[in-house]
Amino acid sequence: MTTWHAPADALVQFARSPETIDEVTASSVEQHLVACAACRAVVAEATDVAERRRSWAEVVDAIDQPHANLPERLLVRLGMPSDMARVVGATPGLRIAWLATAALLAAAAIATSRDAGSDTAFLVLAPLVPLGAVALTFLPAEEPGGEAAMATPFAGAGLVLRRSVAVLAPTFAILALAGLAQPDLTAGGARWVLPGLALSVGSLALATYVRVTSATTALAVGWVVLVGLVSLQDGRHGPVADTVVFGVVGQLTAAALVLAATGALYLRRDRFSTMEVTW
Amino acid sequence: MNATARADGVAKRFGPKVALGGVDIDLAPGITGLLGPNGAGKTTLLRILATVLPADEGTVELLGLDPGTPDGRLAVRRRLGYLPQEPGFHRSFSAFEFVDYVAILKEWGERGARHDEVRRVLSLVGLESVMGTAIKKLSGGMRRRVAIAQALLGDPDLLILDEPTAGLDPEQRLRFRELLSAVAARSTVLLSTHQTDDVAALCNRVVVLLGGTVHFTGTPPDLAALANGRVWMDAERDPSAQLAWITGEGMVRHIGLPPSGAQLVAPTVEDGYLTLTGATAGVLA
Repeated sequence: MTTWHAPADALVQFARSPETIDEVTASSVEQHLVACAACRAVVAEATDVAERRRSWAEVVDAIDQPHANLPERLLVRLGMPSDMARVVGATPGLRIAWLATAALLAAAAIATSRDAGSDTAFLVLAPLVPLGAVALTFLPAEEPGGEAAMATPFAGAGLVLRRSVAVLAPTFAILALAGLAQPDLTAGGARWVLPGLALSVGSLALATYVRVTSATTALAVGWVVLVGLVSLQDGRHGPVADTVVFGVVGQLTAAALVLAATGALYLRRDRFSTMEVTW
Repeated sequence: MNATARADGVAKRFGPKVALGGVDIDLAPGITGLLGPNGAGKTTLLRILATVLPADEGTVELLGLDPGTPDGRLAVRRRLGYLPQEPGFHRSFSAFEFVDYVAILKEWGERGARHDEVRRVLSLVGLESVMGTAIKKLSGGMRRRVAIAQALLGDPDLLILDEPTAGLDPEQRLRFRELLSAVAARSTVLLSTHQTDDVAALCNRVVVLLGGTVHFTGTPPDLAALANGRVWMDAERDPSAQLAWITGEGMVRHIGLPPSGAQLVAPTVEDGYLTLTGATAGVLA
């Protein structure tokens, strides 16, 4: 056992402000403390316990801090509060897999259009992508909180709409980029937007009446059948972009449907607060 | 009784199937056990009382509030803890991440306080050493405890638990009883279970649900008393018994109408429950 002890002022400085001691002295004190119980007691007495507890709590908190995925980090960068970003970022539609799928769909539509020498595939498929994205936000197996989440104050239309906006924004962005790459779409390249909005907002409204899968399927089939029928009638002599669906009447009708669906959604928003809206 | 939660004439249908056919139930501070066979409507009733499913008919009042209105439902949810039968949590989350996620949904906005609360409830269920472990790597019992932990966030005034002890080993069940009895000192707890010994050990009151309607409301001793004079021991099986099984001592325990001179024994809550449900599973070995 050692009979030498470190100077008291050095021990106190070591305990309270170790950053002010030079490295050699700090190492020396550290080594001495390993062998000297009396000096350890001096350090313990000089230590600010509350400060140490706070520091330790910070370390523990940093270790426990949940891992933020890419969408969550992006949402925080865009200014969303971290807790909200965590809830919205957990949306399956925001995951990379979905975004990659949307990009692939868009690419496939472009490729098909180029091969066919027309805009048909892109204009028909593009509105269906946001429709699918909205449906995925309801996928029950992907709700991180499970059924327990439904019994929380946060559950309800507010969360559904935030997630829908979060998933629709990147989806529309991807499709807009894809639209710009279309060889045959110029000024009319955005004519899929309003039908896409009508289908996605419409699916939310319809989901308050029937299952999400039924609403999505009905709207998707309805859209394809509508475009097909109109193309058969009007499109024989030109591209599908020139049919009534993508003309002024079609665009105004889609806009009216967006408004009507938004109204229905507002009136029936309470349905999202319980398990009445189901996948 | 000073009820903190009440359902009057609550009915629920799923298509042609009647899940609940006019249920009346009052919950007071302490623990109320909910017993019933599979398909009796327990989970449907719990979902209605947990505000996640609206009733088709009847009225529900929780903590003096009407969960049928948006404001009432929101206010109830701020004071509610709910453990569903199938938590369905995201298995790539760690235990900490899952409970933290639910805490955010429960409006714990300030990160430091929220994380302290998450650590507190995970410690309550004995999971402090595996907080950072992915849920998919935890055993079934540990996952159940993670789910219980989220229900305890914020010391809820009303705690609704659907089969909380399913998957827990005997020691964990005893620890859970200890935990729940402490919670019940300040809260109203509704505990749905198939474990009649949990009901006997924990509950002030018990409700038995059969075929979507309430068939019994009373104390556990009251339920046990339904089998008074209907439980007897014998060395041989009596084929006229409603139920009979061989006990660890090698004797046959019978429930039903005893023959004259039968050696009657004091009934348990389980005996009373089986008498009430009229279970006729035959002779069990």
